[in-house]
Amino acid sequence: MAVGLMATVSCEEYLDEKPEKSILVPSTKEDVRYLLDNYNTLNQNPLLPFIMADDWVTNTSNWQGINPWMQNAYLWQEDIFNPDERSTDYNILHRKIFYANVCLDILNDFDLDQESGGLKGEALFIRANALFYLAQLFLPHPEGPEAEQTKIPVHFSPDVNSAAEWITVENLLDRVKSDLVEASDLVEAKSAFRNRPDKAVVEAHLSRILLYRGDFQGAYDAAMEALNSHYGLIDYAAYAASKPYPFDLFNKESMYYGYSSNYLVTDGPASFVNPQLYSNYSDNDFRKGLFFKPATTGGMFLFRGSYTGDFNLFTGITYSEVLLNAAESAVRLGRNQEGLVLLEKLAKMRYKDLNLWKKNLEANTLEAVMKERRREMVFRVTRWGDIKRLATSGELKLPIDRSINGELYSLSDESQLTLKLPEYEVSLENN
Amino acid sequence: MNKYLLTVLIAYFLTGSLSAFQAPGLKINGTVSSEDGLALPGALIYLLDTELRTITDEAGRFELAAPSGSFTLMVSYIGMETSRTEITLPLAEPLRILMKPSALELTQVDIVSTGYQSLPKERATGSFAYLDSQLVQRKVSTNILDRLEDVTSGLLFNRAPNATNDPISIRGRGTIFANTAPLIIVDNFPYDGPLENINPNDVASMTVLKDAAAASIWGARAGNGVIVITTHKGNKDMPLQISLNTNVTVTEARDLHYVPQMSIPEFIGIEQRLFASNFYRSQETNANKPKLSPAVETLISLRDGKITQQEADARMELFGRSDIRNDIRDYYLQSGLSQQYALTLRGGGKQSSYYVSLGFDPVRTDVIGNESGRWTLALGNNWHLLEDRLEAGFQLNLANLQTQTSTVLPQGFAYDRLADGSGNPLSIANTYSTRYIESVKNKGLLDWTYVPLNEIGKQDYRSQAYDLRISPSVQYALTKDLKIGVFYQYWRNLRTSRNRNPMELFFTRDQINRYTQQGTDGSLSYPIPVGEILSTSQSESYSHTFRPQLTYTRDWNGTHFLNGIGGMEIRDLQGLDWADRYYGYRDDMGSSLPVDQVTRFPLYYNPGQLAAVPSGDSHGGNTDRFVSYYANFGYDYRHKYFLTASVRKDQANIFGVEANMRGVPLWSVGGAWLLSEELFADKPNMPFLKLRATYGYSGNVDKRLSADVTAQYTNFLFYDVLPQMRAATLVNPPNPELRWEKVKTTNLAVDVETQNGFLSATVEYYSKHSQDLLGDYSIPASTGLTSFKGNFAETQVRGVDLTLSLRPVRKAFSWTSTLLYSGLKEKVLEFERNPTVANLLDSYYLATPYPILGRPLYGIYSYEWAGLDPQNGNPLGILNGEPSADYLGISRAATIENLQYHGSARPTSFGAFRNDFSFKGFSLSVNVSYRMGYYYKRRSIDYFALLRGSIGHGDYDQRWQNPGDEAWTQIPSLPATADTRRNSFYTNSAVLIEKGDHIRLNDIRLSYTWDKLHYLNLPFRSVQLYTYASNLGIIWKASDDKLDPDYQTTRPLKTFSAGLKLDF
Repeated sequence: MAVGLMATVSCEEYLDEKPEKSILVPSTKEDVRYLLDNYNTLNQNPLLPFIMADDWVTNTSNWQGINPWMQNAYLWQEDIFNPDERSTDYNILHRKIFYANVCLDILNDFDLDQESGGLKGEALFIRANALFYLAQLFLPHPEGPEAEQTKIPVHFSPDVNSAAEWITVENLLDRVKSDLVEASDLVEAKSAFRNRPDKAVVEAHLSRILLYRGDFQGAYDAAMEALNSHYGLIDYAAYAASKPYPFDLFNKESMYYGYSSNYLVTDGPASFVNPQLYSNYSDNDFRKGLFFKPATTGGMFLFRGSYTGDFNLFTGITYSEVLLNAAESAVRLGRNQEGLVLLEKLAKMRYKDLNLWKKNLEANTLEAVMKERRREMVFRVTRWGDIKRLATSGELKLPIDRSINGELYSLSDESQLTLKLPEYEVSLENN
Repeated sequence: MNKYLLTVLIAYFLTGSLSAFQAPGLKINGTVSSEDGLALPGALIYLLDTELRTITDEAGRFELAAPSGSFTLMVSYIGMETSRTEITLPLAEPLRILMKPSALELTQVDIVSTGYQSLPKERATGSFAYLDSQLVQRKVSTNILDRLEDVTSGLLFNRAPNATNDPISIRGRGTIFANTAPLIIVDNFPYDGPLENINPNDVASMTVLKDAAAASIWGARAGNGVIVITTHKGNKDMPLQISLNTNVTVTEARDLHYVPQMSIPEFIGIEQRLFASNFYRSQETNANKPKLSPAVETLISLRDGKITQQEADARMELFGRSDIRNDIRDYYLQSGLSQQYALTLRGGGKQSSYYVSLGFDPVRTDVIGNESGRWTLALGNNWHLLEDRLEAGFQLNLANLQTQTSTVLPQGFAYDRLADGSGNPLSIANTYSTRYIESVKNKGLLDWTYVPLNEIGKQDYRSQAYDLRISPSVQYALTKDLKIGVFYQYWRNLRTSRNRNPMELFFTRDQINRYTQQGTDGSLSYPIPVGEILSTSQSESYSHTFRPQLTYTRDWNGTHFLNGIGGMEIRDLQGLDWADRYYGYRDDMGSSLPVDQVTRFPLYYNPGQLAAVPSGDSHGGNTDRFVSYYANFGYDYRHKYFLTASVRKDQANIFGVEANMRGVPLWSVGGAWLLSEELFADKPNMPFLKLRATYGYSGNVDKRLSADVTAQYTNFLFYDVLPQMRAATLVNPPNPELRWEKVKTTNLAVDVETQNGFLSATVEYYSKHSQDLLGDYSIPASTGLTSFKGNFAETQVRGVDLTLSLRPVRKAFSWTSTLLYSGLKEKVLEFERNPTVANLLDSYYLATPYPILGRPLYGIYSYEWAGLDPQNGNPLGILNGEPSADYLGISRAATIENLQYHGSARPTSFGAFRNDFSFKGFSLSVNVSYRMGYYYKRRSIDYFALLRGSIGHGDYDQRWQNPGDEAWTQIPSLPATADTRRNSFYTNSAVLIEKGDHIRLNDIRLSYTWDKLHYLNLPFRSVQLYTYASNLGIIWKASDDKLDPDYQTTRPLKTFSAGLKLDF
């Protein structure tokens, strides 16, 4: 009886023991650190922007082997998902936002010091990054058709029982911008691991978003901030084309790790680089040899220049992208000469003979920058965002065509640049 | 919870004061037991010519206050001859009444145990299925749970491929996603170890608790039913009895030819066709160098001009004659052999009793070189001291299990050859193409070929498990009516395994080779050092269960009888496990080498794949805690009316749940009316007739859920980009509304037995209503999650259990016939969302149920079948009411409503019919079981897989080939291309759905017993020789399918046993 009595008294504590060692209710800064280091979830990016962009083409027999939603996306169909189908990409992006919201919620309980501030900055960045992908896929460009009417559901708190906020692309980009600006002052100056964003990464991302929005001064400022960091360019002359995958993971250019993977698409024996794009690389360009290898199908080439060092696509942020953002912004702001200087920085590390490059440079500086951007950013999954902004501004002329089974499919209308939310998700939101 | 403590304390004082009212007088006290020393609780004691009567307690004891004088004491007990004893009061010493089994009635004395108390079945209100020692020992098997099959009403062994999570169900399934296993109680405590640690030879009886009144005492863990196992104990005043039981069982080797396979030359023909259409091209050039079949490799060599047409033809002809199944049978398989040795000693003196047993069970498996063994030791002692006021017990059980695996069956292509004509071992492809392995032959790597026969006996896997249970108990009678007891159990389990992979194994050489790095100068370096790979794993767990309990028993002159127990139980189970892997191991030196487990190396066979050396490390730990309060009351008026009630509250360490949500109170009430006592009391040859009804709740819990957001620490794996990092993954959305699952059971029953024992029957009707079941429901992905687990589903099972026993002949030749019948109907009452058509069509092979309102949890669905197209042998379905081959259209038009629903995937009627014959020393028992009212999906040719290069089902040979074939076959023609839709239509069509109904000859047991009564010169008390055979085959089945409805992938293997039982 006495033992029973004692047990009763300490019963609360006795039953507080967690049932499994490895589980926890995240509540400390350390827990947040571990959540934010879940790079397999947080650094994974969607595949849809790759599938729909014109970096690659495939043949009918390979197309038949990929999943139906990939088939539909490849052909820019109106309905990509079956009525009862969920979208992996859509899920991944919201899952990242959920992680960020959980972390932000926990960090609310702490005074803002260097550690909790840094973590908060990372969480804000992760959410902003995922939101921007949602905007590129499921919302029109801010200048695009129906931009003010089209809304998507987003959560800014971890409560799964609360209703989502439906926001427009303007709301979303404003939020992304303010979150990134806040994050920029919070994150570390230099992160210990490339899966964690540091200040340069946040600024780099800000430049990406502002460029998308057409805020060239903002994009330029952010890009310059990011360029002035411990990251830099690598000299392609030092890389051997004899290696099956010439680049190393976490080289000096890869500022922030990100990957998109599906072996059906990214490791397919018929995931060819768009032949038109391939023809844009001159023999003077190291990238021609380092990025591509001949496919077994005659005349076609496969991509192998991923900064992951393997068949997964590197879809993080690279120093060269930031440099190109800066160059493009400068040129669009009318500062052609500055743009060319920035472009030359990159060219030095990419071309065998810089003078030859200069000689062959397009007379139109903007054209020169945009062509270099196209060649540099191949298979890094930024092309879809570029298509979207350039088609909206009229700079890129639609249609883009693809053919499967002898039939021609076109991306000919701006409305095709915005995917419909999966029907199934809409029905659940309305429940 | 202080309330509960208070109740217990009040009960204590109340009962204490009650005992103070005891009128002084003479006492008759004593014990009632059967001839073989089994205590008989619940025996009725009458003092004739007085109003005084009483009932014996759990230990068969009774006490009766009486005036002085001479009386006749009458003791009656069902199944026993009523005894009359002349006594004169006061008594010199306590009475010992031994009861003889009644000559006419050979009904068993069933003393069912709930794990908290034992009571005669006759006095119970709840639903108990009881297996006495004889029934438990009827089968020969090393696993105790097997002994329940087909002798327990309401209990079903699920066989379909979807039964991996719930191999046993008691009265249907009461949960959807939570724990599905029944609770197993061994000697009054929940059993934490693996059941193979229990030696069936030690088991005295098994009781299955089926309704609320029986099971509610186990509260939140009883939702899936409870199986109570009671081991043998010694008996007081019994001279030493020694028995030895030994037997040997031969099990036939597995039958690799059971599932029909298409002919190999036909398959090679398909491969040739695929090769011609360049099907293998992508695999041939795949960066991972995947293996291809010998025929395809031959065709590649031929194409590349490496061999002549003649040589290619010769090889193909040889492949056509080869079959890996025959090689495996000849080189690897043997019949399994298991032996049992059990020695038991038991007996007892005036104040104590003991039981000692030693068991050894070696098993040789059907793969050569693999064996296992089990040693068990049981020690039990009971003492009755201080004039029986103090009762103490001590029990110790120890088990040691060992397994040793030295040979693993090879995996190869259908016509891979393991040996040449003269028996020399041959190499076959493993993982990589033989072409690739040949091409790197001279690169300085370790031998990368795989020669299965050279690996026989080379694997060195050993595991050891030790399992210890110690349970002391003490009970003290505070007063005549009130006892206080403390029960305790300590359990500990240690398990280790060690898997040494020597260099002779392909596995080891492959691991080393795939990480080997080639420098620019061609030199090789080895991230995995050359040497053996050793993997070890350990786990240790222990539990403490502590149970203080008060027992109150009182009768008021045999008119009112009250029995109550109340107590609390605290349980703490903890487990730890960890695993390790060592490289470059040398067994002779006992040393291993360090490796770099962080750097990602390009793999030798595909430099595009980067991976660190797998660490093989893992760590785990778990804690399972319960604090429970319980009480159970039984009241009996004039041995005619019985009332029972129980209540229990469980609290567990569910994670993050507010304290007030941790617990769940569960209760039950029950009543019984002994109608025969009412109607035929005092009439001779009265039949026994009893009505019973119970109602109440039991529960179920899923400890993986939590009220808070939970995360789980994870380590990244060797192929992740930063293997050295630690991370947390969010696993659960918060669910503040989380509750325990509840199962509400109503049970109505009638027990009948004729006085002469010619017929006895029990019919029970039950309704099991499971509420607050955990189920997933879909939530918008914008929340960050796609589904949410909550308490919102409801299911219902209604059914009937019938047990009917007939004894038509009871002379020197006796015959008993027992029929078990269980029928049940399962229905989902509430579930958020219907599954997709694809879910339903696949569900037969999946353990996860896909609930649909109004249907059983597991159903069989298919596309309607309209035969074969006479033109081309295409399978036809129905689209818009017309036969159609528009498979896409059919799948698009399919809805849950228009799919063909055949019925339950699990038997809805089942049972067994057992006949026991005995003549002189001979006994013969034959058990026939049946399962009815369910459907299954037959396997057939999968053309999609075939045209992707996998060998197909034997149905291929019966396929439609020419117009007119549709008259005799329903198997579609071979399509021109791998068409998933056509294939998926056929494999999901009604033509492959079969009725599962069948009757099976389960087993036969034949024995001959010599005993001292008949053979006076026998040096033993008795000797029994027995033989037993099981899985004897199907007697009748509804379907024409050649295969067994319950065994679609492997044949149930026949076993034959012979044994000897000696009693000294």
